[in-house]
Amino acid sequence: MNLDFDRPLSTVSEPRYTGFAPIASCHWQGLANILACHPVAEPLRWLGASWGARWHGDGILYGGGRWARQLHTITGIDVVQHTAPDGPAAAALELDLTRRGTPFVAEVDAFHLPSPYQGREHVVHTVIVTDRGAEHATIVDSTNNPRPVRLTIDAYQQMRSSPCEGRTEPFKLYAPSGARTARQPTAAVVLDAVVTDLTTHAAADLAAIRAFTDAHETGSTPVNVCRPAAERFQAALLFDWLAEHDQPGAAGTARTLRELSDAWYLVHMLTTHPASTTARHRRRVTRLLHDAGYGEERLLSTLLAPARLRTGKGPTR
Amino acid sequence: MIEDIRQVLREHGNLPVDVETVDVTDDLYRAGLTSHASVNVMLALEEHFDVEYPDRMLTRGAFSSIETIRHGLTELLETA
Repeated sequence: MNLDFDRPLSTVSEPRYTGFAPIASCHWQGLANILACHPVAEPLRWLGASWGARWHGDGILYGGGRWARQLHTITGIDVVQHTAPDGPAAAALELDLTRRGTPFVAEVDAFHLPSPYQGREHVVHTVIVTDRGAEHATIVDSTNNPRPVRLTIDAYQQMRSSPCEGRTEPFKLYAPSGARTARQPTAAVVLDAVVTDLTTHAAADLAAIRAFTDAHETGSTPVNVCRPAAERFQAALLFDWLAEHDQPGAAGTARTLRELSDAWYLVHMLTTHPASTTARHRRRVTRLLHDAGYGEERLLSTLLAPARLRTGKGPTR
Repeated sequence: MIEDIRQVLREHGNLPVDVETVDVTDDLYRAGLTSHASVNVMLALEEHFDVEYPDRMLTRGAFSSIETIRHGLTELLETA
């Protein structure tokens, strides 16, 4: 079913989703507020239709990063993620988006915003940019200050370009692309998309977690696992929705995903503590990483057992 | 022990309220303890009491009140 546009784009300035968003999930909150101007019923929860893991050999365990593809599969909505090599390239991209009337979600340094980190810590946060001009930018921080704030371009560029903890890609932004129309999927369609995605990627996801854990056990590199934590948090929201729509077992899966999210966040918080490099703390983190990995395997086995029976495929070691 | 726990909470809990006004059974998360701060509190308690929380006790519930923290520490100190 295709629905027409229902919520004016101007209402991005009055965000539907506000308040606390766990570490590494604020970009979904901002994006959901933009997508709330598309004809989709559950933009925030449908952004959690995928979780996984990728490891590139350094200290960061990434999430699966397949959420945008899944959103497209479920609703037909395209979200693009841009990075820019420098400030001028980022400015050109942002000015073009505003010219086309497209609000976007931009990574900024929370040090420069009214937030728990203001003036204290340089950490990545995201804001909705509703208007980006040559002299001013208007932002909405749906997490900490959900109202439009007009900034001088110097202030905006400072928070946009400031190096900070956790930033791996420069000048990152997220923006919807294409027409503001969307399909309204049923719960069965959403669940099928989730299972198909997991069936395809589970083996690689589990292998990435195992390789990352093994590397942590024998190495000394500081690690960061907030991204998989956030993906499980977001996926739990999706399974809440599936449970509300009478999908069998969805409530239990939501609980398990929350436990996994908590487990990953615990590891993340332990590894960002100043004492995290001591041998005792690393041993504890290694144990917790193993536990999280076992939890992931158990959940995938449970979820994919019916699909494995159907197709003969599933996660393998 | 309660006073020691309050001291750790004061120094590491980053609570938006005076720790002295928090009753031993009050929910610390409702009082403003964040997940991040709870980890700082846990690590500070380990150092202060010279104990190590086993993985099974690294749960939100173990740090949900001064009383639950006291209960956990008592168990750890008795088995140390």
